[in-house]
Amino acid sequence: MKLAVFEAKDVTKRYSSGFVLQGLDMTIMAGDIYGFVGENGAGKTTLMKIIGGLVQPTGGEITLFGQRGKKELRVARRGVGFLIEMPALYPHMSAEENLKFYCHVLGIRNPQRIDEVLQAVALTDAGNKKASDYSLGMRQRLGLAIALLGSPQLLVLDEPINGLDPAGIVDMRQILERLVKEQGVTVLISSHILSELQLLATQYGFIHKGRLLKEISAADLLRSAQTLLCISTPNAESAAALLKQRLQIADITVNAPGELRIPKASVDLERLMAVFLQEGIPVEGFNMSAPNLEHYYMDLIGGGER
Amino acid sequence: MKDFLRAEVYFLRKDVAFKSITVLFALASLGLAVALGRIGGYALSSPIEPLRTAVSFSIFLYFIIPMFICFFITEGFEYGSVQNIIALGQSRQGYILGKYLLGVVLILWWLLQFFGLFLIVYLSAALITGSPVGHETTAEDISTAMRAVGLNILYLAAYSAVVMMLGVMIRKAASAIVATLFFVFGNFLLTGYLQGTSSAFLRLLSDHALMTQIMKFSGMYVENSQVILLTGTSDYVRAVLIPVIVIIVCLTAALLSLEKRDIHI
Repeated sequence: MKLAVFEAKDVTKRYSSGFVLQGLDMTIMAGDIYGFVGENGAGKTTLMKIIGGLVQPTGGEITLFGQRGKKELRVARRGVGFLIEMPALYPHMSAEENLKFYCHVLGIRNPQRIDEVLQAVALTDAGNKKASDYSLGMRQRLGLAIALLGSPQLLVLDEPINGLDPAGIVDMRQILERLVKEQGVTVLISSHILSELQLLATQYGFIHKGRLLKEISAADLLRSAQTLLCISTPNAESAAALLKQRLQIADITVNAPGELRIPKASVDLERLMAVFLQEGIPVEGFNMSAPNLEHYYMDLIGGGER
Repeated sequence: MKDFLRAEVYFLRKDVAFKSITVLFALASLGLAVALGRIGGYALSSPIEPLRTAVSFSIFLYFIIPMFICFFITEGFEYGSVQNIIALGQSRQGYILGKYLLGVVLILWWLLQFFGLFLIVYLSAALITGSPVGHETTAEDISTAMRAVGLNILYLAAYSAVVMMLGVMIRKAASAIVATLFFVFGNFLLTGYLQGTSSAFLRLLSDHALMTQIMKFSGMYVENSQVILLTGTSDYVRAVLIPVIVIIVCLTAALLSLEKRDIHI
């Protein structure tokens, strides 16, 4: 049975400007890669900072590895690796020296650990280079190396792929996948790049205006959303009207680029093609859209209402 | 806490500002010993006499050390390391007290280096030049020099506590440095400009300012063309109580500020 690594119960954070978190309930189970999805200012970073003890909640309670209470949480945080916002690096120190500093903080005496984490984030060759000379991608990876130093059971990563180039994004995904697979690390990750999050996460939490709207597993998300047939045709509106009449399907829509979108489950593909041929509707393109995190999220928060 | 202190010592060992100040103090004590010897000769009435001379130059420590302490307390907010350190389980109280403790250790190290090097260079020069070194005032010099060094440690610790409070409250290195400059020079103004004021309150403020006490025990406080020194038990009690109260109040304020406020970099 999977154990809860982190639990938030009715967590609220209020500043003078208003609520950042409102009665948030959330659970992260061991071994999950929990994708935390929400717009800027939704409260993702605030919750991560609450986990890190950097922000104190106005109300509610959090549990980390089953521990609650100020002192117990502080001890439990030793089992968490954090990368919140920008990596905290000393620019005048090399990667190895930065890691050595945090080794001291964590009380790690084994010098091999520095090589291990540098290897884990593929920075072995740049260990002697000063952090000020690092690219953004390298800085993010070094930030991840710092988070990994204490062999954490939970990784809290706030926008870790922000500003990375495509290769850097792929690298980061592979590193995280390896950590979860080989070391059984649980990950809480937020990102605005939902397509990337969809490739990684096993569980999602959708937050909007400080409230957790829904928690759903990746498998349930796939099941919940319908596969659509997307057909490009020059006159989509009239084609949609014709298809609705001929096939008796009401659920045909036209999206912004002028594509017909038909739920796959509601139509027989052969019959659909036959209608296209009989009516002489030209087909310029044809594809199937898989269930999409972005669409799910937009539907959840009410389309364009943000 | 021990691990955090180790980490901070490692940071200091890598810090260019710390190394530069160490070199600066070494050069200052060396230069001062050579310059004073060339002017007045190296003849001494006791082997501790150079130390007694050196403490009167300790005033310039109050410009440099608080500035460094200000950098040292705000570096965590500047580079973001405070975020990682707290998130890794270090208590906020431990963070502040650890930083302060190291600040006091730095004060001890720099004073030992400044006064120690001065004494060694002066005595070596006296031996090399064959100047006479007497023993007539040894006991008196030891007592005076130790009192002044001890009070310097206490007052630099008080300055550090004020600067630490400012740093924790302001959290931005540049703004905290400006505030520290205001504090250091403000203290000089309190001592100098308010010395002869007719307002009883301002006069009280001036009398109890940190810099007034520092100048008194350093033998630099002049009133009506007369050097005013600390004399009598009440003077010494006051000279000790003022920095102790400042340390307690400022560290409490710094602790409360860090405990209550959220950490955003």
